[in-house]
Amino acid sequence: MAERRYPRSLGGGWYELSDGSKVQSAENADSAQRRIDTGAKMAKTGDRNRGKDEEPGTSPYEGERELVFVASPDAALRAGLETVTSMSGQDVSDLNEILASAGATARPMFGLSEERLIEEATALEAVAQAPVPDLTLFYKVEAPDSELDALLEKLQAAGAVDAAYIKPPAEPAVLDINTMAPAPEDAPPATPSFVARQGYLVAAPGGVDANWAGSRPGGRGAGIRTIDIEGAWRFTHEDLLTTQGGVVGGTQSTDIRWRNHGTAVIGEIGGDVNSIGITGIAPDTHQTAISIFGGMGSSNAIRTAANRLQPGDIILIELHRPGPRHAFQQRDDQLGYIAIEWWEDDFAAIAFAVSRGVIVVEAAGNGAENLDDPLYNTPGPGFPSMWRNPFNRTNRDSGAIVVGAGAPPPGTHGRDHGPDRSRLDFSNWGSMVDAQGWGREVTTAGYGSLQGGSNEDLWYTDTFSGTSSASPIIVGALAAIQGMLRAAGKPLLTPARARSCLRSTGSPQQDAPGRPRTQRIGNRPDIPALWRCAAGIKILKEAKELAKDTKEFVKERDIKLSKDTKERAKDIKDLKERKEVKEGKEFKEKDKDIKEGKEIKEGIKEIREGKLVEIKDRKEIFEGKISDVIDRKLADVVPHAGMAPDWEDRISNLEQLVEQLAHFIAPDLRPDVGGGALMYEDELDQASLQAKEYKDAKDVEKLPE
Amino acid sequence: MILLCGIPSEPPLARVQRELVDMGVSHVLFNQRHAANSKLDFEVGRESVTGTLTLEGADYELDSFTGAYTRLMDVTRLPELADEPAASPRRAQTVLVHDELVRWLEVTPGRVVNRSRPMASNSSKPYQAQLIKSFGFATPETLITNDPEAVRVFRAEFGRVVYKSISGVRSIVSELTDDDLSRLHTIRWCPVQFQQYVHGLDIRVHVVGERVFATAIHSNGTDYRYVGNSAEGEIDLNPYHIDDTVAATCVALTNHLGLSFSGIDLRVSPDGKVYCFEVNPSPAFSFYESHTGQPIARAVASYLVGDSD
Amino acid sequence: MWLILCEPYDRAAIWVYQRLRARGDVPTELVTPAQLVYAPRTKHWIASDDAGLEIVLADGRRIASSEVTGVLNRMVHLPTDHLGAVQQSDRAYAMEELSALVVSWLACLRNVINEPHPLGIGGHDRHPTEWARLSRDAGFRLGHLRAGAGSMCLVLDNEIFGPPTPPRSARACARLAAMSDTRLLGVLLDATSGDFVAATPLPDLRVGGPPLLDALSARWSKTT
Repeated sequence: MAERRYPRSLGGGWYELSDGSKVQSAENADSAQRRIDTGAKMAKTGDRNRGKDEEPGTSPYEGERELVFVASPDAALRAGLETVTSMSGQDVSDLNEILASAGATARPMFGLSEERLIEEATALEAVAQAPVPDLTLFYKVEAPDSELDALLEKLQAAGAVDAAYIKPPAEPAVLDINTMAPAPEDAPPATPSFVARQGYLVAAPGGVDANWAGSRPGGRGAGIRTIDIEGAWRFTHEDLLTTQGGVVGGTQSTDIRWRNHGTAVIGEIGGDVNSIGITGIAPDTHQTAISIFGGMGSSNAIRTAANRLQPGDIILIELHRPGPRHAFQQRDDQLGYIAIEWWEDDFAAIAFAVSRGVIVVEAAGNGAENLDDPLYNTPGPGFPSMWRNPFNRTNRDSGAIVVGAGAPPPGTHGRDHGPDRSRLDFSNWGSMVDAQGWGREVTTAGYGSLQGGSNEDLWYTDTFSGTSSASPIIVGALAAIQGMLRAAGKPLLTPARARSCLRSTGSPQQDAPGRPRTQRIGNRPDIPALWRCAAGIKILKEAKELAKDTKEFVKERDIKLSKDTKERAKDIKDLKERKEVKEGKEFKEKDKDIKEGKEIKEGIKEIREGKLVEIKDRKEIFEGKISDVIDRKLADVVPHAGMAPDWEDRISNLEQLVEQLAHFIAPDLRPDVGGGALMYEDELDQASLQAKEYKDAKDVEKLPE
Repeated sequence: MILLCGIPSEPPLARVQRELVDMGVSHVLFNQRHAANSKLDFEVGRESVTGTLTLEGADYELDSFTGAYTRLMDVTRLPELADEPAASPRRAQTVLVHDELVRWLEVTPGRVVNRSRPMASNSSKPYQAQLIKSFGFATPETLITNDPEAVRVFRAEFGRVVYKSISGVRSIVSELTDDDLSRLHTIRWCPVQFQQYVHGLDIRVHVVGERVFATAIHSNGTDYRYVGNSAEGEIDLNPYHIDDTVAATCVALTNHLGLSFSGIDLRVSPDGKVYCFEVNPSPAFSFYESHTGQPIARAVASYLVGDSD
Repeated sequence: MWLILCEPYDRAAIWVYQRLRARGDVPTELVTPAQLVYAPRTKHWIASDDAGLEIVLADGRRIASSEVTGVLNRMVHLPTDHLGAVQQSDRAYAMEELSALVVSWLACLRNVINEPHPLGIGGHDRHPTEWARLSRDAGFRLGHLRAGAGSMCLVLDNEIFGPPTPPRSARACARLAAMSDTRLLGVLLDATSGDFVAATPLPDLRVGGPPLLDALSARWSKTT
């Protein structure tokens, strides 16, 4: 190591460091100086360093471009080891020549023989109306990156190819990739507990209230499986040892930045329950991982994950890609990066997973983009003609839960990123963003900036960030809920229901200067509220009573208001008469009472308490938005409710539906003849069976068949 | 050798067995209730279907059976299974033997009365009715709908209307009364079959191969099969002569359905029109035979043995 | 009108639907079993002179038997989710009635490929032992399935589609389809020997390519 000028001895046991500070003791001075030196090599932590030139020597993430083509269904392609054949007899020699001349091979994108794919029963809805891509038609071309562009052009002209496009490399959706450096000093013999620094575990609104979940049966995610899709993980980490199943697909990247990232994600969701380090939001969740490297690719990774999971399990997509904003170019500041479902094969894979009942949580991306921008309506170069912009869910809806990044409570770790739950400046936003998680100050495993040293297995960080750190929070919250539902013997959340519960509950987004909440990133989950939504209480009876109570309440409120208004008018009259302006303050307070406090409090007593009506609901009820409340509750239970314009009709429609329906031909007209054959048997040894059958037989005696 | 399958004491099976004994024909009876101790293995080979049936400890080569008559009851209702838990080996073996038996009956050559595929047409009555029509029988005007208004219009047009099941789960045929109109809304979620009520004489025709036995039934209830339930119910059965055309149609229809033995429900209206309601693929003919003495069981036994008649 | 009746995930049927619709000769509609079962208004009659149906689907589309001149029937099962609210004693009964009804609906339509059967609304599917027996009678030798060694032969009304098949196997395929009363049958053959491996009334129709579409279109256009 080159000789350093710092730390410089000042005498008396004091040393000066390069930043001008003074430290006592040579040992402390050395380690402190080393930390300064390391930090100086990277861009600074804290606020993003937008637009500045990167330090020389930093490189973009290891990533692979993917060349995808979509075969024409008429060709009924089969990909063999060497060549591609057409089962319908179409001439595909041009396609084979194109591949051969570049030393390339075409693999079915989704990795299985076409017959098996065709047999897979998916529950895609009304496919003919809302086009969802056919998985059997996607092929990945394996060829050196230098060949991809020329191949793309040729493939687009080939007979059996409907479309071909190149996807830019996927990156993990974390910030400050080069800034979170491991602290140089070795970790202490036992890692202290950092749980107190995990503000996201505490009760809402600051956290998601994982602590509450932890006290409930199943609230730690037992029996639930998740699969994280990105590049690499350190599953030997000291705090990730239980319920982690390791890498189950793809080949891990050797880039430590991918590895830190994956480790941090796993930690947030499932850090072990012990006295050291961190604790995950749902530590009993069984977590595994699939790498997009080694020829896997993102869409095949998603599909592979879906096939390994059961309905109710969760896939986490920790990736984003450079989008059309900056011509699909990789950038260190990640501007213009978007969620990966914008690309056709990734959309198809996500839709497939969702159709299996698997919940897919997807990072919205750190591109500081408005995903509602019409820019995204334009298909990417080479996209199939049936492609529609999935960021507008009325076009098509992958079914994924898309996560934005929000600020933690100001003061977390002594830093301030804006008002709690406001959009962080890098986070993508838009109508399709379903929920937010902490996008800064996430304490978890990996990176080593909180506790470092030479052993990666002991690394922790305080500053995991991005839509990368936000998404695992949603996964953890959902895993806790699924675990609780499972323990209660209730059906697990479907992807649709998970999304609707996340959107309708939780701590709401707040404004920040220049980043109003109209730039939607959604609510921060509140696990107890999510549970109430998920547990699917029978709401009809309550809704009707709620409606009845609400009507009465509103009536009474009106009466009370008019009464108070009369009194107020009297007071004002008195005041005018008495000309006592001093009482203005009292009136103001009286006004306040009337508007906010008294009536609501009294009315609320009459409204069904607790389970059904949340604070937000009460406020809305008071504001007369009764139908909105009912709508939300009804939508949770019966998706097809809502044909009648009026909510009362809606409820009675539902009641009719849910009433025990009886067939026109009543059971007493349908004699049960099955046991008649036994009528003449001698040795019916069970007395009750005998009695029953003889009774049946009596009725059946005259019956010819 | 003939194989009989079902419950030994069940009258149709018992009668056929008695006839086989009378005729001196060797036969084996597979008692469903002993299925747990039975075994059946078969193979569709390149030349033939071979295998073994093990019953009461004895083995029988499957290709030694030249005919089979089945009156199998629902295996899940066997008293032997009443206390068996869902996953018990005994239950599994019982169900397995029944499955194998039915599969073998589908592929074995010889005279099988009746194979299960042809019997299935009976599990959709209107489906069968469309087939029956194509053979020239009349079928009652029928409406199957979930629209109460359509039912009202139908009733207005045809006057007396009855309603009944269309699936294999039978219902007692009932007349649509004014009272019933008030609950018509319940058809909205499951359509119901309504039929013009046809007056006439009920004839049950049993077809065995090429042979035909017709029985006339006089009763005073809407559904003679259930007349015994009501206090005033009376019923009277007699052999009946049907003309050759009708007989030939019955035989052709039975044959077309792939059946060797059937029970066809006819009703002859006062104006001579012959309505056909149903072709029953597993007729419990003993009821008719016991009243009239018609030798239906004998005909079945002869058919099984391959006697031409 | 031509009807494509299929499960919502049936890629092969959707391919037929999209291609025929694009040709524009005859209005073509795709209807799923769920749409049929949840139809708010259905009328099916068997009268002295005819049998027919009129169905109004929840999305407003109307199916009238008088207007349907061709049907591709690829249905496999009928959803019964809506029966969750039905009282226990009636639920199983309702399912039976519904199955029986749908089979009868299909039986009153013209030119249905494949015709329904009470044992299976998609047609005459059979147990492998039954297929084996039938194929033997059709003149096949029975082969064994080996990974990657199969080739699919499609038969529609005696015509063969798909990759080239040895004439002897092709004839046996056609015979098998006829013997099993299946107008559109897929037969999996051992690619080397032409021996019979398996048969299905629900093959991947894309193997038949545009020629199969032409054939379907031709048959349905001949309906009187």
